[in-house]
Amino acid sequence: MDQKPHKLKRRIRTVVRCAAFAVCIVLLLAPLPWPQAAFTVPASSPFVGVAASLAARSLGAAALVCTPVLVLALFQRRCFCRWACPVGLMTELAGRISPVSARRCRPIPRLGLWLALLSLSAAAVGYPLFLWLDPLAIFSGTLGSAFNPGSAATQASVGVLAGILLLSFVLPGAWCLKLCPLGASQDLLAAPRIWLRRRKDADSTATNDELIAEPMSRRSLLTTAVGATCAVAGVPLGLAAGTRDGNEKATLLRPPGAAEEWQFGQLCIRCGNCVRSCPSNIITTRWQFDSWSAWLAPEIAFESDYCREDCFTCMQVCPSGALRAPLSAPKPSIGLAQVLMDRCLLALGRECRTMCLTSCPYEAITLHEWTWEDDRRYPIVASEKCPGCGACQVACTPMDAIVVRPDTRG
Amino acid sequence: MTPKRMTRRDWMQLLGASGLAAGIGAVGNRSQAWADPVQRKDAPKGVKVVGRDHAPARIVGGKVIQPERELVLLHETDVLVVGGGPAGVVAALAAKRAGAKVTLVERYGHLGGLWTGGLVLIVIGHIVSGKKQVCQGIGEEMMRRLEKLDRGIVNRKPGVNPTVDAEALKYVMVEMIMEADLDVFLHCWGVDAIMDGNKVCGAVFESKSGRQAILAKTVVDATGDGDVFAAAGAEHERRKYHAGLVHRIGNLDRVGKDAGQLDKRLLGSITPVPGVNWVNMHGPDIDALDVAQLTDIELNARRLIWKNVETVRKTPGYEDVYLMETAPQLGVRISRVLAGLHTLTMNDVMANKTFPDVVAVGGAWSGDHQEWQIPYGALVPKDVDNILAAGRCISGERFMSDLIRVIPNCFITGHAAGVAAALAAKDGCLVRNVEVPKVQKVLREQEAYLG
Ligand SMILES: Cc1cc2nc3c(=O)[nH]c(=O)nc-3n(C[C@H](O)[C@H](O)[C@H](O)COP(=O)(O)OP(=O)(O)OC[C@H]3O[C@@H](n4cnc5c(N)ncnc54)[C@H](O)[C@@H]3O)c2cc1C
Ligand code: SF4
Repeated sequence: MDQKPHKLKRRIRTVVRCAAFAVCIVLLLAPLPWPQAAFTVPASSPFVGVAASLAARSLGAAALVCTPVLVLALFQRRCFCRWACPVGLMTELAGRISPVSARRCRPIPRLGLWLALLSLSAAAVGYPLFLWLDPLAIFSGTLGSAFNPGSAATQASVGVLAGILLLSFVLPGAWCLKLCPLGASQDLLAAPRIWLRRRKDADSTATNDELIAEPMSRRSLLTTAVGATCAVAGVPLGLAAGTRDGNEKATLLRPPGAAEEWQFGQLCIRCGNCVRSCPSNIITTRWQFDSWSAWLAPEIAFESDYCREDCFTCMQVCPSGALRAPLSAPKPSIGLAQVLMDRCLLALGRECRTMCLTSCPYEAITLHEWTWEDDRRYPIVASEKCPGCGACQVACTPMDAIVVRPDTRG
Repeated sequence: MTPKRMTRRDWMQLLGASGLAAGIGAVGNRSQAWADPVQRKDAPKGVKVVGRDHAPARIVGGKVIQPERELVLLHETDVLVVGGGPAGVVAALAAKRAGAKVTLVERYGHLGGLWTGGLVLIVIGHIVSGKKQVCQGIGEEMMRRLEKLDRGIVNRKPGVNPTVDAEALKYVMVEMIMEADLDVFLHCWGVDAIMDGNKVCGAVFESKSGRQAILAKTVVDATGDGDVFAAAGAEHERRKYHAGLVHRIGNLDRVGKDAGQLDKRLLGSITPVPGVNWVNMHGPDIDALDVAQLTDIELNARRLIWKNVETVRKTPGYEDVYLMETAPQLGVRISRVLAGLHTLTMNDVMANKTFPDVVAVGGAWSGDHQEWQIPYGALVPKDVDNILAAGRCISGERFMSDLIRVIPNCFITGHAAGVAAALAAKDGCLVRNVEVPKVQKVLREQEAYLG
């Protein structure tokens, strides 16, 4: 075989991969005037795009961004892995410096296919499992740690990425070939064409590129079948879990535009985009375990800032449909402000600057009218005006006497 | 002589001596039986007054008309400070220490304004984040003096808002004023400005002595309500805010441990005197420049306070609690606010804005944010000359009122106004033209904190 064109092709590929890596970094880290830039990285994963669209039952912007990758994958097996995936580049480097041979991972079953199939079929009924294992989501989340080093979502991503790299060092190829659900979904996409070609040209040999998975074998078809069964079996479990989570609405504050609580944790792929992009820095990851589906999903925590009236960033950067910007109408609400009467200085008859009232951008807070019969003065929140932006909560520095709680009125 | 009641013996004497036919004149003679102070040579003599010293108001064509008249000149001074609240007392002391001849005029019989007469006893707003105390200078000196007195002040610890005793503070203020040898006129109500063109050159006062004038080189309006700058025609805003009557209750040290539950609001907050609390009142939003509304509050507030204290007393364990006093001075939070050369804004505070003409540094309500600067321009009227505002009526947007009006933020603006007024009087310039770096230097010498 002629080695020269092969070498040249490899070189070109290396350059393109490095460029793609750089583009991802710029999109995720550079202060671009286009706030949705970061969104494109996880959204270009067909695994995320398809699963999220299935789960949300609508074609979001994510579906649009991933379409080119999806189409290419139909014709060029694992074209994204070969030419663009930043995690692929990193795992390949890890494998290169590893003394272990890539063959060692051969006996490992192709769990990635299971994960992908399980996720896609579960997504079809609104429960996209394992979306957070998407390498692009993990990569976005990891880079997000530059902005929010303290955030649990980004820390989790950093941990998972480190795990992937370690695995790729110990068992080169194990991640890309056997585990990665994005790689596996590309295999699935390419399967029909390869199958067709095989039938036409029985002697064609599989690629000798060690790091890229072989086409679907009978065994993998078997796994697929098992995976699909599991998925179908998992659906009722997922739905059951979903309904059980329904009452979480009463305790958690999600970013604006969040799907119903029972669905939110399942739609969210934990990419950390919202956590990272929030200009007010009020989105954090919920570490506490409430349920499997909601674990590590973003939550609102008002500490030093509030949710700005004109900001839609988190909804714009969410690739999964877990947060969706409204087409028109006002900004979706987060919760409802509540006055804690046993803490509020005014309610206790003390002197107060009433910053809650002053700070409310929606003029939703008034003071209880003074009469000689009822001589109390305390803030009253007009629930129809209050979207739970948290401005009052942040402003009530003396006492923390007004807090945004989830709106339980349904 | 009427005070002495006639006894039966007096009547007998009277009847026996003069008989029934005797005239009234006889009564006088008979009453010589006891000493008559009027007949004593050293008896104090009244001054007989016939007519009046000025032409009274007259009805002319159905309207009440006040005729023009010349006023008695009560006094002449370098710096005239009107209003003896926290801002006014500090301004007067500061001006005196800066070397001016100072006159302080107050409408009531005590000094301290709302801080003492209003029974607003907790000092809020002198600390910022990190427990740093920014409001220093003469106000701080007062608190140090209170510290030396038994039951003068409590909670005087870093990062905490202390509470003073009203009587101890009135005493401390009197001591400081008398040590400084200021000219003081109490029971004197400032009613008008004296103008020379656009320049204020004194004020007119109404008192039991009638309407009199005090001439001054510079004037500080520390009335809280901006009475003098308003009379001088300075542009300002009238704001409505809640106003109420504060009171004190006693015997709280006799409340048993197993006493019943009750609305904490009714019990108020501690004072330096054991067993005594002061109880705040918010009240309705009123125009505190409308005497009808002021009267309405005074009347209704007293009924409300009585009712509330009764509620306390009816609670098991609280039977001995009693109403000690209602504030002699109605609690007006905000009324007039000057339109100054500079208007303080909340955005400036939040953005830590600095000013080259900073003359005071304000604190936060409870150390919950950074210090903020007050420029000289916030005390100087846009349009009228030679008068400065100090205290709760200085120039600031609506949202700033609550930050400006707290006691320490009043005494620091008083401090700045006092020094600036003294220097302007000394240099013979208008207050708006005073050399601010000089003012800053003297303020620092007087231990004010300017950042
Ligand atoms: C109910 C209430 C509760 C408050 N609670 C707090 C608190 O907890 N902590 C805090 O720090 N601050 C509190 N404040 C605010 C603070 O007490 C006042 O804003 C502050 O005392 C104002 O100081 P001042 O010197 O500007 O005015 P004032 O204290 O009002 O003093 C003005 C003085 O000028 C006199 N005067 C007025 N008009 C004339 C005139 N025409 N001629 C002569 N003399 C005149 C008055 O008699 C008075 O002595 C409260 C205020 C109120 C009303
Ligand atoms: S700012 Fe806080 S303490 Fe003050 S009135 Fe509002 S809720 Fe009450």
